[in-house]
Amino acid sequence: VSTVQSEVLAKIPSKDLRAYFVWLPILKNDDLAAARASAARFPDPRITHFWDGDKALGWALGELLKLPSREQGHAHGVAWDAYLLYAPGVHWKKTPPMPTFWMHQLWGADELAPLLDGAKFREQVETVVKKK
Amino acid sequence: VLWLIALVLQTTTVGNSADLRARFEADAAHPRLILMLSPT
Repeated sequence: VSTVQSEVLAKIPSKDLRAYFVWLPILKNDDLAAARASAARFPDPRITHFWDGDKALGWALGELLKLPSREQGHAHGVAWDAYLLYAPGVHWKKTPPMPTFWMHQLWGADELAPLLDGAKFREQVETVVKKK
Repeated sequence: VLWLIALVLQTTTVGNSADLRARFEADAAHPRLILMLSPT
């Protein structure tokens, strides 16, 4: 996340851009208090923070992005360490929409989307911001 | 310093992800990022 902060948000000052940081319990000590503490590190007014305690959004995005399953009984994985870009005009109907572009830092998802590269992600965001 | 840290923690709002859809739609005219993150 610090890569996106330093390479994307810090270098694209556009007030038009919106960012939603969705914190979810993946690692042992992940909870709402930890999410609040992490959120406090990102005071950028363009950012809105959310807690996905039941991982409902994580599962929904995992299904959408076809992330590989890491748990028995699940057809797909949870989306985390995933960075999604949406162009203006994309709407969220019953399920989350497919991103305009996305990157990740997930094992086993290399064929689905590129690994996170701050400069490349910034290029994509800049393209979308300039088109508006 | 601890007082300041506590104040920052208290004033950072973390909403419920169930509300993200409404926010996403309200901001539909804007370029948007969704970052899925572990807090630790």
